[in-house]
Amino acid sequence: MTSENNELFDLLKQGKWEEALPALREYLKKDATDAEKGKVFVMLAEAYMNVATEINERESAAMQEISNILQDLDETEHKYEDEAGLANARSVINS
Amino acid sequence: MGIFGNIRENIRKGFDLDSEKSGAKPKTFDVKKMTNAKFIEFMHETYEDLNELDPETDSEVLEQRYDAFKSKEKVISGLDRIYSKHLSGVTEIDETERKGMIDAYVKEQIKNDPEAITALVEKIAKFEKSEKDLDSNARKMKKYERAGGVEGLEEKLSVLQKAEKGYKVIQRYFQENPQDAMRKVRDEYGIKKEKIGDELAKIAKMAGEAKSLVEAFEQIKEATGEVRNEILYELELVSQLAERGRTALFEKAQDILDDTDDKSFEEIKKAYEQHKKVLNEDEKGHFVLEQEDEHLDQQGEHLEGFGELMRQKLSEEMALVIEHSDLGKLEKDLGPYLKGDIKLESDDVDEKSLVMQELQNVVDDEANGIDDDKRFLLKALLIKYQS
Repeated sequence: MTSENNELFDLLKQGKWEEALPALREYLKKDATDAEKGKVFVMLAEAYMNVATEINERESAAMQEISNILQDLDETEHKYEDEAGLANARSVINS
Repeated sequence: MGIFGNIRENIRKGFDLDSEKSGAKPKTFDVKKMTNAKFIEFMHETYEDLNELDPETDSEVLEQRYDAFKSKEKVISGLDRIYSKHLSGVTEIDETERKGMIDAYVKEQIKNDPEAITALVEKIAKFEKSEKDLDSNARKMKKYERAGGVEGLEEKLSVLQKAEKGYKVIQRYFQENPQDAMRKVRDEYGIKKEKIGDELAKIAKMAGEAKSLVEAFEQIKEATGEVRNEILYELELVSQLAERGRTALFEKAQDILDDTDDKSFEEIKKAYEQHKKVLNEDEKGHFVLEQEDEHLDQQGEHLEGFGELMRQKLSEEMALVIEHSDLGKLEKDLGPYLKGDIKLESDDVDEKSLVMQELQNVVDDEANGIDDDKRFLLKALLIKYQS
């Protein structure tokens, strides 16, 4: 493994895409073995998964929380409707 | 004998189905796994010691290699999905070449660093689970959004939907503009995170308010009289209250008339009629006139008593209207009285004067408890309806 390779792999590991991707493209044009080039593809995918997994998990947690709130509101509303009904309550108030 | 040198022989040797009858069965490698064509190919390509392995004595090694084979399959298929779905076009290498390169590297790693491949399998599984969870939660959120919930939530949630769309845009950008994609991802993620945080706070607040409202209505159902009025005021249902107050006032005014001695009322009217008649018929003489005057004096006392009663009742009702009307509705509520629209069915009582006098009393009486704003408005109303 050359020092050039190590540098590229470090950039990918650190998620420094702006520097890593041009270097990666250049590297793939060079005379390297399939396994060496395959390592670059694996590391690229790993770097993407690291970021995307975190975003997915955070967004998913936010949606889960919102769903819980909506579910709670729905249940409260239905419970109230079951007990008396908003329209009935209004008529009671105004009677 | 090599494990794949003579499969038929190995099956006979290692997987004798009748071996249970002959006592202790040696631990062997699964026949289905061993005859898996892809596994055989993998073993040939990856390891050089095939002919030294025995399905009985080396079953543990074979199990480890089968696990490695399955891990490799998972990595290859997982990375292929990621490149097809998320990273196509990042490089100029075509799909077939890319697959071959990844395959070559993974085979190498299987031998040199199998733990790294195991970790990669776990990472792919975690990423794919995060995608599934995201889809599942998005569907769940849409379900509750469709279910109704509280009015106004749809608008709030649309912000989140935009954030979700924004995320897809980021993914596309990642594929098309990889040079600065990472910076964009970080920036957009920060914005999105902030928006979601804000929306969560708003929705949580709305949820709290909705619960308070429901609780308040629950209280109203149980409450009566003044307590109910207080709650209605808190809920800004003043308009309904004022309407009810006005209805009550009409009803009570009618009650006043009903409770008043009808006979006396009729007598008063009759007396006035007679009085007018007498005044117009001088020819009937002073005797009659004197008699009528005496009678009228008597009836006048009745009239005075009736007027006092009216004034007292009207004063109570006025106080009710003033107390329970907000500033914006005060003129509307008092208008019918000031304009004389409300008739007490007595031609002999100057209703407008009564009302004006009562209002003047309210304005003049500093101790009656009405606030300055209402006092000011009452003064203005008196001036307006003075003429």
